Amino acid sequence: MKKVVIPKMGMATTEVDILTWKVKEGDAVKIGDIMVEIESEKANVGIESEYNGIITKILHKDGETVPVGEAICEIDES
Amino acid sequence: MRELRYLHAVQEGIKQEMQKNRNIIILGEDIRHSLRGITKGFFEEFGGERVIDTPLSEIALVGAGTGLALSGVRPIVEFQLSEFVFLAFDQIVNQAQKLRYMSGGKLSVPVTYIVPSMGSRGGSMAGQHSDITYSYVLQAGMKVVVPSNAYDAKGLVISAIREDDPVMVYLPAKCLAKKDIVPEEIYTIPLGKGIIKKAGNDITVIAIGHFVQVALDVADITGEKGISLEVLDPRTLLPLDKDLIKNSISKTGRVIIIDDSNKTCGFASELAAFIAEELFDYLKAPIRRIARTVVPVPFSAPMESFVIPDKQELIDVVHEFDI
Amino acid sequence: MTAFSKSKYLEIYRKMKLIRRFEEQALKLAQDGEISGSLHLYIGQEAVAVGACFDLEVPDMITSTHRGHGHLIAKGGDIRYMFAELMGRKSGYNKGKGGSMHIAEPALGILGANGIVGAGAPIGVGAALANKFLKNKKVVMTFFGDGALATGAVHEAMNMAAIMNLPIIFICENNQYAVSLSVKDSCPLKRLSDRAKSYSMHGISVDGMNVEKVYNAARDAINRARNGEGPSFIECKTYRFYDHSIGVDKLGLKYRTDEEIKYWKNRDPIKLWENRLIKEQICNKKQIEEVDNAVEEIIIQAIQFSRESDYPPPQDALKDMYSNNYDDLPVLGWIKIKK
Repeated sequence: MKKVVIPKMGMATTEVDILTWKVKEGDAVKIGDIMVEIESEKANVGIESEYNGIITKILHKDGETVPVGEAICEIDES
Repeated sequence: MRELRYLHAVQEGIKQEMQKNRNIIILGEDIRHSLRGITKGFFEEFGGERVIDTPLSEIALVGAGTGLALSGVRPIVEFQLSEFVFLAFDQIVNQAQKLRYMSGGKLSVPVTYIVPSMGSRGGSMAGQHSDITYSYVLQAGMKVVVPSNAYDAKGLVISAIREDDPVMVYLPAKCLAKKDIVPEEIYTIPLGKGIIKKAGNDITVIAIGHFVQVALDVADITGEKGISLEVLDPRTLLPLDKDLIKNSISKTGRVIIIDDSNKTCGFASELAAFIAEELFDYLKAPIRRIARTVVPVPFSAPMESFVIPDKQELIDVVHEFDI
Repeated sequence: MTAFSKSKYLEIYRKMKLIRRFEEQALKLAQDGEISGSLHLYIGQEAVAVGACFDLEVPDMITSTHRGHGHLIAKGGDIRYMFAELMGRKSGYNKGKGGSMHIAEPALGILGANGIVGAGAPIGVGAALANKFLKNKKVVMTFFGDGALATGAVHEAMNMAAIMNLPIIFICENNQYAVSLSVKDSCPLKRLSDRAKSYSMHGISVDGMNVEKVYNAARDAINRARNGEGPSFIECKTYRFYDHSIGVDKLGLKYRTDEEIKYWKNRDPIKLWENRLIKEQICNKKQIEEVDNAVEEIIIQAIQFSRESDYPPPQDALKDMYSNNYDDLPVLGWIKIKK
């Protein structure tokens, strides 16, 4: 089981907003698929999947503010 | 009504002022590509004559700001990191801040320093990238504003730019992403005027920067236990709104100062001394300060959390009062 | 060879003489206790200030040093207000707030003498950047000594001026010593103008006791700057006849040999210029004497003016800290707590 976390972005970004999830629990993802769009004070970014697998759990929903480094979903690698 | 993030509110304030006054030039490192995000889009809009990337030369950067200011231009100097203030310390406190006085009022230095910090709990930026540095320049009598929210940030940065003296505009890292309703038109918030963010009766909490929101959160928590906090945001550290502080403390008789700079000779010390000296008769209990432990900020997260205060420290100190 | 008009030759002499007499009288006033604090005498270096500033217009700017009286006078400073400032009077250029090392007069383009070695250079760069931005054709001349070449401030300033192609002239007055440190122990270069090469900047070294040589180099540099061709560096080899300051002179630090001092005193720039004027029959001894007397008269009147001027009232110490008024500013060191 792999956790996807909010990456470090920019020199002072401490938290980001989750804009839109592009996948839901149960969906399959491939390496490179954009899973979610997030917004920091500096930019909007899409977070890509680093694994092939199934989304097992979404930990934070659309509209939530999440600190950098926090896990936002879990993936079961296939 | 439109919401803007604090960083974008600062950006909009500077941009609108630069659109209004063509004599404003902004200088800094990596500001054309806007590494810190404040000047995003400025190079495209205002051009290379007004948006200048300097070499890694803080002494020349600040000195150039002074020379520009003496010569009919209104410069804004962006520091990439708050510690870079140390590199140019002579030019800031020994030159820019002193020239007006030493010249008998003949030299005028209308420069604005924008200092975005990275210092905050959880940033893991370690000893040389985590400082809050305004206390060092306050001692020289430099005007300093620390907006706590996006609305104040835009109004204060515009006022700072219009001020004819050096002003340091300090942007705490933890404030940068926060959203608030920000009017689209130009507006100013005067220097030297603080604000009561939440009225209360038992303890005055004077909070600086991102600690304003922390104090408001704690006020909700302690409010449920029957302890009423009054949250006071000075907004400008120098000149200080002494009357606002006096009115609050004369009502509550108790004060906690929470500031994210070092405890020794930090801004909380100045507030505490002023309150003890001039408002002693109103006090029912000793003044309490919550500030940073005086060590270089350690890298590892548990240690960093230990030395930089946050919500729990404020809650603990609130409960130390006999109310 | 420059062809000066006769009046120009004499004007150059007059300016150097005025600086010399000002400094000599300032020294006397200090020894008599009428000037407090420190004085860094420019005696011996007059050819640099006069030659460098001669072609500057009034709106052009200079930044000066702790050893700045020469620059200030060469740029048109009124010696009444200079004496008054040295004597701490309210009528001084800085209303008594600055003293010798901080004299400023923006109306004459004098952005200030400076008590920190090298600190004027970055400020001069900023002024030049402003002039370029405002397209006002003004140039900036920034003075510093051999010791300042070691500072980060001068390096950063020269680097930035070169990168930004600014209308600025860096004048390095190499009087061979910082305080007691010889330039040989401070800079690895034999010829200080080689430093300019590392910034791809135009650089030249001249005999700083020869006012015409200084003038020629400065004139070229000023034209270069005004024509948008960027910054220049001029090393002027010169010598200060007195010790670093009055304060240090009583310490008896023997970092210069008597022979060396004697050698340079024999190359007194004012004497050299006077001799040349007489020898080439540009003017005669009588005309020189007339200038000397006129200079003396100005000096006497200026000192009298200063002696008769009031000291500032002590409460003036609270003025001029800020451009506007706020309650509780400036921060008072002590207050009365009403009971």
